[in-house]
Amino acid sequence: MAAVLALVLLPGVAFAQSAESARFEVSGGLRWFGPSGFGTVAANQTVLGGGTRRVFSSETTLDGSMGAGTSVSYRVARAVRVEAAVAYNPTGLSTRLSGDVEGVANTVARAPVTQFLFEGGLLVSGRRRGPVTPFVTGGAGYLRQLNDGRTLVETGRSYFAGAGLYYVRASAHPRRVKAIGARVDLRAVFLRDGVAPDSTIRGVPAVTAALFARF
Amino acid sequence: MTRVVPRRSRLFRAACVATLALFLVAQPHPASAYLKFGYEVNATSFTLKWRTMPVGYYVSDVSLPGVTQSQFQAAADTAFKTWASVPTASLSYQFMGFTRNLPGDDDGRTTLGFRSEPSLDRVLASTSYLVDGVTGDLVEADIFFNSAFAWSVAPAGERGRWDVQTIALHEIGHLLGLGHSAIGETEQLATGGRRVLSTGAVMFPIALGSGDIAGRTLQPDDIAGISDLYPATGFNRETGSVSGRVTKDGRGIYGAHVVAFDPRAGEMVGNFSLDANGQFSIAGLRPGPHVLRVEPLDDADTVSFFSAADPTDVDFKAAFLDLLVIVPKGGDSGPVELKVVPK
Repeated sequence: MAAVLALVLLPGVAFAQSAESARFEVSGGLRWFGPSGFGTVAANQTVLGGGTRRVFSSETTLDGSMGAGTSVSYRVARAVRVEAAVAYNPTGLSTRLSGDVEGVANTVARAPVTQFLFEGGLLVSGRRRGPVTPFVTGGAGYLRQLNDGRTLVETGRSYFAGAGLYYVRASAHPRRVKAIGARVDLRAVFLRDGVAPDSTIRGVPAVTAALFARF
Repeated sequence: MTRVVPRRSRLFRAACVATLALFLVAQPHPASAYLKFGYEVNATSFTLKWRTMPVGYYVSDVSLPGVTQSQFQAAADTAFKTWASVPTASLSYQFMGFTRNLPGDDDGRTTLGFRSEPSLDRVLASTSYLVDGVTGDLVEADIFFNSAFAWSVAPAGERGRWDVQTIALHEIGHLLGLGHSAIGETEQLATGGRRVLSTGAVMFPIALGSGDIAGRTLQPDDIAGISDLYPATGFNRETGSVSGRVTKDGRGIYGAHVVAFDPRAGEMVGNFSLDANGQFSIAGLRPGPHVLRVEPLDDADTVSFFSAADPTDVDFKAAFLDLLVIVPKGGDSGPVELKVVPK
């Protein structure tokens, strides 16, 4: 019985060592970005005495979006990887207009925005539990948002921190690919500037689900 | 030299009327932030503006109870300084001295001062121009302040008296070449006049009221206008414009008021559709997304902006464009169409 068990487990141990010793990892998948509110800004006019009167209100949001992402990482220590990633999200700005003093119906004005995030960070793996390995990640990035028709490019910075899981499987071609699998992470992304009205750092949730291969 | 008076329009300020002796440039400029004044000399069109700086001005040697000529000059100088301090505009001014001449005298001197015009019971102040009939150069621009009204130079304003600095700021905007802005809201009074509810530009044709000093501060619309007329280095490169058409039942309409609202800064800059195709353009905008709102010109008499003969259409409902228009840096948004429906 013990011999049979050993036969079953041995490939797993060997695979795990192989997967964890792999230097390079390449992944590609989907990334969802949550919406980011830019707050309410009123169209005010001046009244007698210096006060203000609201003509209408606006509330602008960078819409949530589903996009694509890819990453490359390199193992620099047993459980530590340096990772570079690019995420592409076709999103949009939505400005809700309401409370018009002349009774104009509430309107949502929209414009498409194409967002790119170029990120660099560290990924630290935790203790493996079967095929599943937890990890935490954090880093910073460069934000590039292209307005409608690419007529205007807005740039900014990003910072992120999150955690996720690897689901690792043995490769069918262990000489070329040491492991394959899926990874999913949930992160808090903090964006600064870009299409935002000011330099306030705004946090948005992001979820990445990707397939990867290790070499 | 002749004083050019092709058309005369009456410009209303609160319960008072300001008269202005020029016609508006009613052709759409490729990218203009404002109604501007223009004139024709020898079949050549000129945009009214000063071509040399500084703009030298004199003050009439006339005092009123509570306002000496020196106090008047100080208030006028502050108003000039307010326009000259716009960082995105390039203009300068110089006080040349006091004069016995009155504003309106064809003496080649730009003169500001009081003049009694009790028959103009709704005219607070008025700007008029003297243009060289050969070269088209602007020779002088005079502003008279109607001494039939009570005036004040009190730092905090004075109830029941019109603030010289506030009215001077508006009239000096005209003196520099700006027309009227329609960014403001009014309500019709049973007596036939209008009461101003709020304004979003110093160049709104109707003053908020006597004692008011809020009009001493330029608004984004004024800043865009003066910067468009006298752009500082880099202004045209760093700002952008939006242009397009206003249509009703598929046809362009004239005189629709279009406001570009920056939802990041809360700033409004406006202009009008200025031809039969409904073409409009608004320049001097901060790059980025803008909301467009169109409304009929029903918050002031249309003759405050256009000739009575112009086919100004006010029979449509105010509306927002359901697109955010992206203003590029140093360029134009590309054409947009604002569709309106009859009231």
